[in-house]
Amino acid sequence: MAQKKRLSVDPKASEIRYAMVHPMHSWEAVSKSFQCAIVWDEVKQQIEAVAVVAPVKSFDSQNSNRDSHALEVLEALKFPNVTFSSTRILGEGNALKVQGKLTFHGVTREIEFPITLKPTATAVEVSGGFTVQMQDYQIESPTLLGIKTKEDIRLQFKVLAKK
Amino acid sequence: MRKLILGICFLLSWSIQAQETSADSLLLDLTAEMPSTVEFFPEKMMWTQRALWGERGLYRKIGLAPREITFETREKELKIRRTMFRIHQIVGIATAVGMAAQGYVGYRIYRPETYTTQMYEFHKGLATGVNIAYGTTALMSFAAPPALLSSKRIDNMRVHKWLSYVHLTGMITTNVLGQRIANDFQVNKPLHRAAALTTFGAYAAAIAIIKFEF
Repeated sequence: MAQKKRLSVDPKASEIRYAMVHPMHSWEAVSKSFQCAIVWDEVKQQIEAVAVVAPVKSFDSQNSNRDSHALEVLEALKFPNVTFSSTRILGEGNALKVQGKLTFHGVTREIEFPITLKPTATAVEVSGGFTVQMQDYQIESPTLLGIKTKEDIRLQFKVLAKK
Repeated sequence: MRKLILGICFLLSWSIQAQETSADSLLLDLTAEMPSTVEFFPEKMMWTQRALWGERGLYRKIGLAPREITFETREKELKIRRTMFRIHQIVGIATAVGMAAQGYVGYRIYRPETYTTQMYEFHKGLATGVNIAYGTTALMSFAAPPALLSSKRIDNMRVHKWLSYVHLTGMITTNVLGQRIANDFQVNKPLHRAAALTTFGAYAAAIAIIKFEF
């Protein structure tokens, strides 16, 4: 049996969600159309590496006008994807810390965030989240009626990877 | 001892490098698997936007917009769109204020005890201002470059657009009846007021619906 294997992600059971706040309302948008690759160490029962590519266009906030505005602000024609690749996975057991490079709006930054694993015989569920600041990625805050949104974008994810 | 420490450091950095390389190569594989088609225009557009800014739009034929659609040209058009929608929002709010003021002035001139010729002339002048502001607001929406996305979903912004047909019809009716009040005072005066109130109601609802998502 190979020790390390690349796991395939079940798109129906996986999602990435972002949340933002504007004084007039808060909202969340969900993407179920992203690519994710996880290298799993069967002996250690640990993640060895992870990479994610999420098209900006795939996030749906149930409001096409807002989603369209988001694409304009994120210059989606020039930067169609948000990507992440891990550099280190720290910790042991099911509570880990992932360090890696997040590329968003053409800007790459090192980030670190906690994840929780739920391994079973046939699959591994990985969940976690982190917050980014728009200004760190040179993103102009979108406005509605002249009022800007808050700088924070809260990201959460849940990925089910089949062994 | 020094050699041992150096050896451990080397192995550690090699291990980190290998992990990083592994994740980077995963990312390259995933990026290669992504579909590479780019859609510059949404599936559905307002007919005015298609007529002006579409691939065979009027602006492209007369040289106001580039004939060749590239990432750069479409991005510039999206910036134009954003500017036009900012103007749409600002002038739209100003129009609502003007309409409310017209409602108050209209109320005063409809009552014999508060009617004055001066106030009537002011009402006519303010109507011209409101018409210009309203027309500008409408133009900023109808003539803007198309968005990147369209949706068949019925959401609050779709209702906002539907209400625009109500208040546009109301604005035309209010103006026509306002001109005709002198022709048939008893009939057209209450109709003019009813049309104006309906117009303002639809217009205020169109603004309010932006806040209430469903």
